[in-house]
Amino acid sequence: MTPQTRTRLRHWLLLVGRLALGALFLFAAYGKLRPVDSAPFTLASLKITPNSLDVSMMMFAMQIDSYQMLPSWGVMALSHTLPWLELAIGLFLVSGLLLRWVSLLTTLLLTVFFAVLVHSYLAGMQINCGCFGPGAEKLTGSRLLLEVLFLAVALAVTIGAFFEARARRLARVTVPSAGPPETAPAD
Amino acid sequence: MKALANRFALAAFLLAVFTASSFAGPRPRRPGQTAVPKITLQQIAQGKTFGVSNAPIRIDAYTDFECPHCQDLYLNTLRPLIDEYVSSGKVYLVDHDFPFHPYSRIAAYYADAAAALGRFSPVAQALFLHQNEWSYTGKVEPIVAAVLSPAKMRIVQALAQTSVVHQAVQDDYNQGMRLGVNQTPTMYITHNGQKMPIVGFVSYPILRRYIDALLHQ
Repeated sequence: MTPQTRTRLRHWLLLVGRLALGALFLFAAYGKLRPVDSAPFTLASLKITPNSLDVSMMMFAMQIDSYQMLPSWGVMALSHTLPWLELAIGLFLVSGLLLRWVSLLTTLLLTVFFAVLVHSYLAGMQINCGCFGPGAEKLTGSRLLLEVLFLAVALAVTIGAFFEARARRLARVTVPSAGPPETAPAD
Repeated sequence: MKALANRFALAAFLLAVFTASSFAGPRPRRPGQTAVPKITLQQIAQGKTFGVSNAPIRIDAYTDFECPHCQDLYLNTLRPLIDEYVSSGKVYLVDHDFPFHPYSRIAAYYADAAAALGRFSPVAQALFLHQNEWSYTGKVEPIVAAVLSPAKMRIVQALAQTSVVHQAVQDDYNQGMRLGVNQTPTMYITHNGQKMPIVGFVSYPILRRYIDALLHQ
């Protein structure tokens, strides 16, 4: 594999990874913000009003509360900020803006989610994950494996984003000092 | 000879009537024996509902008397909910048995028997409150007896053995299975015809805010 092919492959893998992660975060935000009485992927699910938002966020608050890790004020604060944070992360990942820092934040966030899920699973808590909004999403071993996969992708995107930024920086530094490009001898 | 035959026939007839009546008729009750009232499944179901059925929000709670999170939910969330939202006609609460621990089915039999007599609340509260005392031994009776009069306790004891009560518990369980309940506590909150599942314990301040948001929708 030539260095150019390797660079191109890395670039495409990074693109696919960040788009997949972005879609995942957008879907997670949509699941939490859509009206709870609407079916997913319908027009009604896009009719988000202040009242429907209030209900959706309280529904999410109940799911956070079932983990029994935070006081009421913490539950309320998290339930009202996390969906927006996920939406912002999703948009940034899809657009590719500030990729290094957003992917790093994504990895940290997914690490926290994974730790919380493992803790609850080991404690034998029979609760819903609540990861993608309301609905039965039982906390099982396979759910944890899925979370490991998400975390691995996020980590790969973060490493890839930093690597690519470094490669670009090095290229910028080396190009001016390389001197004039070689020209083909005139016949 | 004919008169003698007639007398024998009459005696045989009387003996047959007496025997038949002694089998078919109500037996005299011995002193101390409790009369078991006839109860229906509807009576039991009604005894486990709180509030008015046309309230804007209906909550169906599937609980297991032996599950610690159900204890938390009943004592710290549903009790205050009954006091504040059910009594004001905003919420209609329906309790359902979903027993799957070793002794919780026995506890459910006693609670449902008490429900038929309109004494579900004190019995359910006692069972949850003293969960640690009976959940290892299965000795439910002393816990129930502590909150009922001796006469009522005798009736509940007798009713707990009847097929109607066993059927009521099984019906609740089957209904939960059909809805997809696979863990306790699970609540279904119905508002405007939409049923939302809430799995696990939810604290009262958070549930209260959710109900308020639904009511203001």
